[in-house]
Amino acid sequence: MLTCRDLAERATDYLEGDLSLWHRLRVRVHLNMCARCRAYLGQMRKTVRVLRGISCAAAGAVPDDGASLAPLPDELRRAFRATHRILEDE
Amino acid sequence: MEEESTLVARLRAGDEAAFEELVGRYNGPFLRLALTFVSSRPVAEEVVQETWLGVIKGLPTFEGRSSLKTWMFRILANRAKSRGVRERRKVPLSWPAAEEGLAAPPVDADQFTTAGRWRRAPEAWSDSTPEKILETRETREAVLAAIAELSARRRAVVTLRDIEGLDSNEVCNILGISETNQRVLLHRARSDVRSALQAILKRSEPSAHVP
Repeated sequence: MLTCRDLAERATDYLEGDLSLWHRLRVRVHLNMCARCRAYLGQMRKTVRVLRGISCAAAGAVPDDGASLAPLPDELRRAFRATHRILEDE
Repeated sequence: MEEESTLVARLRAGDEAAFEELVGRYNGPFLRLALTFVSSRPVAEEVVQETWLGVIKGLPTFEGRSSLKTWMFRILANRAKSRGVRERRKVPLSWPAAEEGLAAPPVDADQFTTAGRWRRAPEAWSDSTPEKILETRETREAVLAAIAELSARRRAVVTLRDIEGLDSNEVCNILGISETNQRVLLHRARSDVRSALQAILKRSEPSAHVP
């Protein structure tokens, strides 16, 4: 029998679809009978959604601390132009 | 968002605006990943600068066998890793070698009975949507702090998989780790963030249930 502890170990594999059919079914059977594991999986799903929302949240909510490098630093601009110049001269 | 092949074509044609767009889009994510490998922001910025120079140099011969994004992240990971290794010379840190297997289980053993059942029901977090968590400064910063506290390897995997949205093949490619290792790291990282969220949400919830 799959225990709650076993399920917790496999939660990510389950959510990512990486379990074999057999193991997936065992997890589903357990979930049907276990509200606590359903709650735990719900937490893991929410956690993933929070993580996925971070890049957008970071872009909007946090003041730009120089991370976006606007305007382009001279060194990079020069290097970029130099490469193209070389290609043009070929 | 622009199709990648178009962007690559513009970059190869020397379109500076395209390059500015690329830097604008990826510099932040690059910094985020670089910080999982090296100890300080200034060093991370240097690594990112080196990465951009590597991208510029490699663009003419970029064949498009992987996506531009994966290719660039791989350049970054390689630079950052060697930089990270040099920095930690006093305390040897082997990036891929140490396996996660011996680490503590993702959920504390004491949350389960000896029979392996949950002692207490995990909460439903029904009052907190991901949007609310991210929009509220206190909880958002607590999540970011939790991520910052992850081990470097867990942080790198969860950053690339969940924050940057790369798939598992790409991440294994970029970090030079096995699929198995990557899955374990992702699970542990998410579990750690879940535990942190649990604590955060407990703190910010009103204490009594009013009937």
